[in-house]
Amino acid sequence: MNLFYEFMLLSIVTPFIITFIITKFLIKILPKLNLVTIDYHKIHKPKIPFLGGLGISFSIICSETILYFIFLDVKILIILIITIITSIIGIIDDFKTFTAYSKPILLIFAAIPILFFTNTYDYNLHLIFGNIQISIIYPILILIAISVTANTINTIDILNGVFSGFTLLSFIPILLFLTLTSNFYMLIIVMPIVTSLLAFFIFHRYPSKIFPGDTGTLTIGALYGTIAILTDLELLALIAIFPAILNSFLFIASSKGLKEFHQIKHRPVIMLHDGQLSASKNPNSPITLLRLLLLNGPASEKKLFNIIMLIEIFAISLSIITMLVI
Amino acid sequence: MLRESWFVLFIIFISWLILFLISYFIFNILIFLPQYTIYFGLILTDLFQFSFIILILIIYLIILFKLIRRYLKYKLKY
Repeated sequence: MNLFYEFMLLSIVTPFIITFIITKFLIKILPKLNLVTIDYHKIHKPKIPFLGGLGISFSIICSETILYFIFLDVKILIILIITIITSIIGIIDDFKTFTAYSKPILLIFAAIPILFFTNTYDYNLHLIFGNIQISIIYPILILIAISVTANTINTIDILNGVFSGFTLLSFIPILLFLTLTSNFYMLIIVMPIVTSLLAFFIFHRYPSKIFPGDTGTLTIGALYGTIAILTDLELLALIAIFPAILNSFLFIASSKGLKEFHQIKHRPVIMLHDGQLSASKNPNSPITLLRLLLLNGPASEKKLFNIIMLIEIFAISLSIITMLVI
Repeated sequence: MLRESWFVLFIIFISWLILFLISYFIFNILIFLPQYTIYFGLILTDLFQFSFIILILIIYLIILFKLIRRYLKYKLKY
């Protein structure tokens, strides 16, 4: 049991410290390299460094490599490979934006490592009143699920701190389930992802000092899907990210197909002179979660962050209720 | 904050209920179907159960999107 505490401490402290130090370093170095982007939701439109995801990816790779040499387990190897592949896709996307269709297709390749290790997952889809055995479709679903979760988490990066705060909260049902079922081994594997996100949140929260970029959002999204599959908690994970799924679905449905945000001619949210955000009244603007939240009138960015966190807490509560029913 | 978020919270709650209903329907009504579909092999049961979930989801998503769009038109008056 003492050894367990040591490993747990290792998987909590190491990624937190690595992410904290690297992110602090990136905040200083990235503006000098002109790797900055405009924060559109502020009056003075400040320039913020955007490759913060590098710190998250690097710390997860370091921590999971250490854990792999301790446990020599394929589940850790899968997490490592997926982190590396999605980080590379994210970095390329940050510098040379992929088209809206090529990104999901590329992310499908990131899920291929799971298919090679068939003993790491079962073919059952765990629904509320029982399991469905979908042995033929399940491998295809894995490929799609990783790509979908990565893109879904990517689209929730809408305001300062939302991506990191939202994903941190969405990990709660998974962590709770692993603790209640005494699956401490999986908990040790998952903790580096959560703690590196926590360290990143310190700098990403309102007002943001750094943005994660696609490097961060795609990596964490793909890892979220991977963890859901490896722990057989697909349904709980799905319910926990309901708000992000809703945002993604509304955006795709209203803009009639997959589109990159810069391709949208009419922005869903406009900024007022006092710095508050307001819903666009243009019928051609896409429908997004933010636009729905602004239907009752303008609101500040900080208030909107709090509202999205409230919605996410509601979603994870539903996920926890489902867990208790299962 | 509830004033701004009640509509989204309502959609999330309804979506969660629909998930419960689909699950209940599959395990309490369609449970009898595999004994008929077993003659066609595993592929049919697999595809049948899965395509059933997808079908309900698609119908639900279309209705949901139309309702949200109508609500948006009403609130923004365009």
